[in-house]
Amino acid sequence: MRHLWLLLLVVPLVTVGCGTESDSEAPTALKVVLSHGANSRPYLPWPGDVAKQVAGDLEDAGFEVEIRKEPWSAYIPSVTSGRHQLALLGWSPDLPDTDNYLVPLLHSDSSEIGSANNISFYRNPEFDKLLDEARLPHTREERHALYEKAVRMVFRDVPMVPLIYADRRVAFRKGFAPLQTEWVTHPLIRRVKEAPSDTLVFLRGADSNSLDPGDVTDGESSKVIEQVFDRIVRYVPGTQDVEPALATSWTKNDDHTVWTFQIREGVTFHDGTKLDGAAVATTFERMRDPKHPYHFPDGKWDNWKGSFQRLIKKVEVGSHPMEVVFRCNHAAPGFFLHMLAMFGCSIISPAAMEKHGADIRINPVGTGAFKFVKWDSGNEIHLTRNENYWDGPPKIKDVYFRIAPDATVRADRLIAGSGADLIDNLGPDTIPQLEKTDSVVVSKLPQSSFCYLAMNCLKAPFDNPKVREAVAYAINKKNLIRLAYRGYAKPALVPTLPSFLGFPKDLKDRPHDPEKAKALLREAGYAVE
Amino acid sequence: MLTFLLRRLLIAIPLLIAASFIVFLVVSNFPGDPCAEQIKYKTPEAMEACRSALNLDGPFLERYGRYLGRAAQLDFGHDVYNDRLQVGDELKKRFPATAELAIIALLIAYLIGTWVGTRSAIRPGTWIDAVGQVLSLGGISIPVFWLGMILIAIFGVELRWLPFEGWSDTTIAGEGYYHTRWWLFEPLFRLDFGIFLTALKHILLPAVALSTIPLATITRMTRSSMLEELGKDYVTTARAKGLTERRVVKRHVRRNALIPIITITGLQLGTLLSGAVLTERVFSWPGLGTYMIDAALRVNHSVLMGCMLLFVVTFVLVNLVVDLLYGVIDPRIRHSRS
Repeated sequence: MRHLWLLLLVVPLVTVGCGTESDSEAPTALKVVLSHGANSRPYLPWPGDVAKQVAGDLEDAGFEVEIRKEPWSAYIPSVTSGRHQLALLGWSPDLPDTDNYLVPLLHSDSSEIGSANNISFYRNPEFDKLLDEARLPHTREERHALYEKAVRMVFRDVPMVPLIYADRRVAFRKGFAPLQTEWVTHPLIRRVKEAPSDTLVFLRGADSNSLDPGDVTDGESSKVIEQVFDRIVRYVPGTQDVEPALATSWTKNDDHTVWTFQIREGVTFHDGTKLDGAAVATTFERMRDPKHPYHFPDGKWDNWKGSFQRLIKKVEVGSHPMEVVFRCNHAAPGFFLHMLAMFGCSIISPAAMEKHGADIRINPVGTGAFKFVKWDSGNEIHLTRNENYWDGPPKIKDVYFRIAPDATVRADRLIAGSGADLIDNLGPDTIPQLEKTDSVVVSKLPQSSFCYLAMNCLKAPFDNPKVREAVAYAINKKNLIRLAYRGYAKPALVPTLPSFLGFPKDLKDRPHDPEKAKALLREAGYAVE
Repeated sequence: MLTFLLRRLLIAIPLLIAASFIVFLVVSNFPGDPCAEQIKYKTPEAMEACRSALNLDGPFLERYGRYLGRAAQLDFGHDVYNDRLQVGDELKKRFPATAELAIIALLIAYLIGTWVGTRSAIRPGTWIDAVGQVLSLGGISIPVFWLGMILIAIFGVELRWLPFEGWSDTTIAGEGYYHTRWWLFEPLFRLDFGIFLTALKHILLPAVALSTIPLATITRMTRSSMLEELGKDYVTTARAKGLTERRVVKRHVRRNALIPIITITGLQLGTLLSGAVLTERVFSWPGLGTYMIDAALRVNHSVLMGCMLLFVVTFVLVNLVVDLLYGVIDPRIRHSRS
């Protein structure tokens, strides 16, 4: 009797454990499987609702759809190895550049079975050539033309149906102003110039994994890292342009393979170490060189592998101690400076890496506006003002990052003024109430992530372009946004943002037309009534 | 007495092994591959290193044996997604938050439950009996996470009587005050009543939400147990002796009725631990419940195993304490044992 409770826990777990795993293909009728991850994402607040909506649309057009929901840790391996037919996924870019959308999502280099980001397995040499060409140092207009051509090709071949551009919102207590972000960053607390108190509590959904900028990719880690560290360049708020930060100026050689940066004088790290060219070079070399003493063996270094590995040959101190030289293997692309503004390129104190070793991830030391004080894992991170910040000390004195996994509770706490000054990842159903509350401001951040329906081009029936186009006609994006996003999203047209290079301004989306979809399916040889 | 204690502790060992086996079996059969999820560039070497670090390679029994061997030395491995976090350390760190919450919830449930239960047994059919019925019915049928949300909405957002800003040393006493992680009980032991009161305010909402689970059972058990005792001959004798009703109930009936109540209160700790999983999530409580539910959602093998084992140990120990309490309440049990 007394162990009944254990049984109660075990039984549902067992049933979950043997749920999935029947991967039979349906060759005859239009039976298809739509897979999605169980966990919510910024671009998929309710994955189940989106899946149901899409499945309904497809059934109206003559498909027979089975929805398969998998835990995130099973879903990702399954789609990266191409075991799916239809899959719901999204993408949040690291750079404000179309390259960062098209290459990971649709270039054939990204379609290797087992590690694919291109889970449509779209492999089009003509398309690849356009992207490779656009990486070379061309003018903005030339790159725009190349990307536009590539994007139209994607629209024609339909390897995926872009569903929505997600709205990214934060809400904060009235009086904190401004709460700006740089292009892809989270709200930057150092930019707050007016505040009702000198403490700010940032309430978020989960804890950070690590505060070593070289070794993390997740948002919960980067939103803390961005307050503690600086990069050598940064975005001008509200734009996609780059301005000097820890570097004051830079030059490049004619073929864009050698970049020389002058480092700002008089900046010190939080531990008192002086910032110089060597510190900058060490930050990059530790990621590049597997034999580097600070290339800690348990690191994953995904930032580096994803962005710089093939490009950078060496980073070294230049002709004087305040100069850093980046030597590249080939011409650096037009968005090289944007890459350096990513949080993964945050400059770390070499003395702190010497002192803490791999534990630098729980003892971050940068040059940023806030100094790290304490991390109580699973509960709270405390930062305090850097009085010697090179760009002027911030207005806020203490910043606490706390956790509330439930979006409703985050909103409740902000509305009650009980332990929350700033919240993010707003639940779409909490937005109306937040907007109604006088003491709260809801603010839209630059759009960046989008959600799409990937169609596995290696598997029937989606190896047939007519079937893929039928799917594009079948989906009612307007309804999807109204019902599965509560109206908080914009319909997506192509896999890049309207503000980015290559977005075709005059391109019209396929209308929602189930009859046309059925006609296409009949053309493809399927019997639909 | 000592042999009794020893025997009971020894029984716990096979129990733990059996429980760990079942949990390990279930957790190993979860779908998904944590290594495939966290490694972006999946070379065979990287995958192999990851699998061996997470004890995911080899046949099932071999892995289970390895786990058991390490667990016996109190090494529960590290968090699947963060090798910096040792599961053992995290369990130690998070235990006080859950324990304090459970203790306060049980205390609330016991005090209210026995009071209401006694009242309704003495005067069946009156308003207090009706309240008791509603309490126990509501407690059983209202889900705690829903109740938690409602409590937050009423007492936190609308009335603003109680804070719900989470459980953290900085929200209660400020940085550097605490030496331990017993954020409620430490100020009490230091006779620092101001801070104790602040901590109590912070813990009240989740504790009330959590207390509804045992409250229902305790109320009903008190009522029926009291009713049974009230009908016995010795009560008539006591009344015939001319004792006041108050004295009859307090000195005679309640003591006899207490045994089943204590048993059920102890047993409730099990449901309390599983209820804590839901309550903690709603109130973002930094305890074992939050830890476990996050682990379950992300298929975090080592964390799940650690939490389950700790729950089993706690449950066994609490039942032991309940058994020992019998002797204190009822001398007959004490005598028959020795």
